[in-house]
Amino acid sequence: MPSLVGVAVRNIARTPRRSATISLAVVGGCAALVFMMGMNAGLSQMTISNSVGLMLGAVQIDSATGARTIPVKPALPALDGVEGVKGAAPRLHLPALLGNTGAALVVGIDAAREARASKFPRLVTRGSLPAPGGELHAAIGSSLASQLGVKVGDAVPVSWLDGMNRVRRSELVVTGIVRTGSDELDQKLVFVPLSTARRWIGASEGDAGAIVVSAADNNDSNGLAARIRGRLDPAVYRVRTWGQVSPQLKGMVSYQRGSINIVLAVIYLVVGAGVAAIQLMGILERTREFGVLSSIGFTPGRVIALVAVESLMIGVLAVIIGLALGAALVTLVAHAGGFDVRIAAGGEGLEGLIGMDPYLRPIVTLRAMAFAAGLVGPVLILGGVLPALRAARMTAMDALRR
Amino acid sequence: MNDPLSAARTRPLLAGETITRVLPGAVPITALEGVSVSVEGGELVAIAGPSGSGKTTLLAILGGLDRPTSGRVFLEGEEIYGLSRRALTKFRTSRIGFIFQTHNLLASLTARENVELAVRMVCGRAVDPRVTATEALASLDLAKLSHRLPIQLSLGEQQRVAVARAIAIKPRVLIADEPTASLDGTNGERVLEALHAATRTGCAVILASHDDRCLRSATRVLHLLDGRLEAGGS
Repeated sequence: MPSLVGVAVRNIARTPRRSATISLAVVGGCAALVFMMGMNAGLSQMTISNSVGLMLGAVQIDSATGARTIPVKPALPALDGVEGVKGAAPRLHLPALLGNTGAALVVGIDAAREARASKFPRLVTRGSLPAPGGELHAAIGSSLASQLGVKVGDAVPVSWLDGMNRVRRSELVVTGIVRTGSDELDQKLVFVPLSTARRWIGASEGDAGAIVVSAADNNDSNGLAARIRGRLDPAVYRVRTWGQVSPQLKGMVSYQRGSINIVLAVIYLVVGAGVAAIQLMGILERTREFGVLSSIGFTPGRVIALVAVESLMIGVLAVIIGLALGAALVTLVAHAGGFDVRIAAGGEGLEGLIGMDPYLRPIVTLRAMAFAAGLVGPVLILGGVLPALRAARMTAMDALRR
Repeated sequence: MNDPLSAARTRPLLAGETITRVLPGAVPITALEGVSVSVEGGELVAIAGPSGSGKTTLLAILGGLDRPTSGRVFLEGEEIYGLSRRALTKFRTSRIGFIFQTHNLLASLTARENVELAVRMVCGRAVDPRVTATEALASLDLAKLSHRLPIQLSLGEQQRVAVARAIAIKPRVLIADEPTASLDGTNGERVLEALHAATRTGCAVILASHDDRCLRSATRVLHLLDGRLEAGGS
């Protein structure tokens, strides 16, 4: 004689089409949720990655006292071996005038370190970033180069305020053109060797304005900042995440996430309603069967237990398959290079994405898996148990009349 | 002077007192009105009447499957609708067996498992459900078909399995709604013989039927018309 579980197994096997339909709804629902949440996570990651890869860095270290410079020497070696640090580069910013075009932002860099700390070396469209030895060499933003009408090898006058607030003038030789894709940056960026920037403002050898740190995982910027803080003297160094350095960017990412979460909420509702509706129909068809069970002594609790066991049996397997399918889809798309958002954008603003990574690579997250299972599983069980409860509460005769 | 033993001896096994059942709806329908019935153990009482006269509703109320709008039902002196829902289910399933017009076997279970499940629900561990089910099926000449699913049985065989399920729990009252409808002569006779066999064990059988075979073999026949019991029917 089959137990309650045995009866449940028989019921599932007896109606393969119904069982398959419910299973497919659960598999599809879970897979869709995992994939959509993976896309959402990938979009956030893409936005953050594109932003922190230029000026911000995942974490930035500057002066705790508000001084213009910090000593590089104790800080940079201290970052070696910190878990999650991908690269670190010292920088020194100073305002300047280039030619007669107006304000420029001179950024003193160590070109070798920038290769691991930012995307700038990969955004040089012509020539190269200034090498450490080239004191008066510069790579400039593409829009700035266009405005000035200069190309690689040309000389361009530059003026700046030194450490004593005196106007100083010199001439820079353009060694490279940089195109970030951000008009704001391309109109004002001027990269010079770090040593040149130090000399121009009278900073000490071994000092920098800030150290930009890139992370192996941009989502871990808070953890990374905490680990770095543990290695540095808080009286000298201030360690901030990209979100603390640029609250506007953080706000934008939150806004983006919020907007997509609204879309996701609609998808959750559709998936949830779909699974519940299919389950509901299946259970309502069985009202008469519940009447028979009631007539032979099944209490309402036992009828509900039977439906719950059936739902669990279908649900557990289907949820596992759905999660695996969703994760496989996400992994497949990510391995294939992701979606080119330029195509989705219909070609608009393509030139603005030159410096950015335009590929949205979805990410498998445990949160997405837990959320999908946490939504679809209970919906499946409640979608079965609630109508079964209603049927079980009827008199057996009412149920048999159906 | 009140003698409890004497009272128990004279008390009917099953009694319905002034049962009225109004089916709710936009236009409420009075399915039964003031019906009183009493049945002794060992009796086979047939309820006759045209379609819509309230036969099935009366059976359901007497069997504890449907609550009357007013009136009372006593089984072995216990007012069954005074019990809680859970207690009623337990009381009903331990004392009343049902045979429905449509066979209402559980489609996913074999003939034997259908009977076993009912035995297990009612008798628990007091008996071996497998042995009891096998005996009940054998008594209806179904031993060789016990492994079949309902869909693999003829209508007559399904109905006999339903009878086996009902008698296997050794009920005090057996309620059968058109038990021989759609059965040929031989199968109908077998079902009736099984019901008579139950009465010989002291079980009361109440059945609703249009079938002359049932009516002829009944101890008493009650006639229902428009939800009322016709006077003098027997």
